[in-house]
Amino acid sequence: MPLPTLAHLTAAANGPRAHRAWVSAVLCVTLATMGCAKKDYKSETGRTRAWTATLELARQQHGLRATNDAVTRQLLDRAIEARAKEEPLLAHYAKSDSERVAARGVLDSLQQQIRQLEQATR
Amino acid sequence: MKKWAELALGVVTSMGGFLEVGSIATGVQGGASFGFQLGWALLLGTICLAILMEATGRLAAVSGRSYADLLREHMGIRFFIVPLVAVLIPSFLVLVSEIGGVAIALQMATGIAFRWWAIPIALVGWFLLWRGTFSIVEQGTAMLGLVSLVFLVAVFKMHPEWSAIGAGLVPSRPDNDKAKYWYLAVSILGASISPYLYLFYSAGALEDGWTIKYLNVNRITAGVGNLFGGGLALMVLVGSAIVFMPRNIQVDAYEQISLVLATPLGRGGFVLFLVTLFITCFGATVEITLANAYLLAQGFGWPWSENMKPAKDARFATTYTVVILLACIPIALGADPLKLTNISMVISAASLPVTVIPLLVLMNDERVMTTHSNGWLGNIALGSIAILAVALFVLAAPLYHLGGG
Repeated sequence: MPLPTLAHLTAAANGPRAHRAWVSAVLCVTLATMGCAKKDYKSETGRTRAWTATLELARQQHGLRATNDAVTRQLLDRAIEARAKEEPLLAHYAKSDSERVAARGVLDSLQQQIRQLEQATR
Repeated sequence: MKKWAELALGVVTSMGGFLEVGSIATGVQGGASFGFQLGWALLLGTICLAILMEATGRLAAVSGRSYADLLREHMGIRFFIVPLVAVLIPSFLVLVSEIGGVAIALQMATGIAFRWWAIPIALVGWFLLWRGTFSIVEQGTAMLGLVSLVFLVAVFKMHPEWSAIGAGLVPSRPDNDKAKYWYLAVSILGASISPYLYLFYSAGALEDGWTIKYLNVNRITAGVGNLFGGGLALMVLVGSAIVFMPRNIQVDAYEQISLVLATPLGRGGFVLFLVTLFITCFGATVEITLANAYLLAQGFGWPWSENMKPAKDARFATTYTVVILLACIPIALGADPLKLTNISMVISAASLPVTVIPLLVLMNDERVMTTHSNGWLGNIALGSIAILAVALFVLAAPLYHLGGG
């Protein structure tokens, strides 16, 4: 199988400036795209529901003394933080009345789990 | 007899050192979102890593020189700067993530915020590098890393459907969330085939004084060690799939991951998770710090060895000192360790072509490899990895964007 020679390979990097500019441009685009992950109604409701489920599991495990108080508290803080972040996002992405109602329900469920876990950790 | 002992040690070291912050985070995320379906990405990543390790280990054993050293000598300093930068950037980000992993483990154990742990972790890591030898750094941390076998115990306790796990090892298309699926596949590959892993392995072969007599040791260590290590990483994915997927839990924080072991094993599982996260990430912290220092020292022709006193290889020692101290800064400033891990795994995957393609060339250079250059099978294997690497380079950023990373 013919393989690229060292000269071929090195030419790309040691060659004309255009090559290096192209590589730099690709790297810049790559790094720039990394900064903005896609968000939409579905993904944000999924994320909020996931925190509700996490807290439910955390409450069970806390009740069984499988986790320590520190982690339970940290999960609670993370969920409170996530709810505060998701509320405006869901308001923004919900396009119809039914989506707005569903989003409210999802946020309320999370709030309920937060309250229950707070009570359990007191 | 001595060689068998070294072989066993090599296999155990590869297994104990396999798990780290990237493989834990991406495995858990993959399992939570797609069950066993991404098992193939782990298998593919493990096979690729084994092939790359075998190649870089063989290169070191036959030539008595490191990959970075040969790359600079054969391709020129201007070419060498490209892989140097392309490896240093993701390796540094992975290093920051590993320090974050250790810090999060300590935060979960003590309740003290992770950012306060960053500087102490860097100082302890630096002290170990300054005073320790290569075998202490490599084998000591990897031996302790065997605590990660707890994931295997947890999975057995949950009685998974082994046939379904086996089916996950064959690539399949997802029913929904295609972008997220492929993004996680790229992340898992990035975590499994991080360039620092095979560059560290190659440097380690020289630290241990490997010659052509060690080619079989190299082959078995790279093959069997990674197979066991990859198996452990698969158990992380499986555990997460069993605990998180039925509950629709997505993983946005390391604290959530502790529930993967706490759920089946109770308090003991929870404590062992913290120990596993601490040890595996700390082991990876010192290894990546060394890998960065090796790369610079070997590339620029400085004296280097973890077995030498720092006064004898001052530039090498200064490099790892600066690298580890710089890497603790983002964590000390409160950067989110899981987000950093996700970004660094994708950048790691994207950086692969610049180390894999030149390796393929060097492995065919008879001036370097004498009679041990690649055969047709080796070329097909490395060539396939090179094609995969280019695909990852092209797809990594768009998938990160579309997959909601």
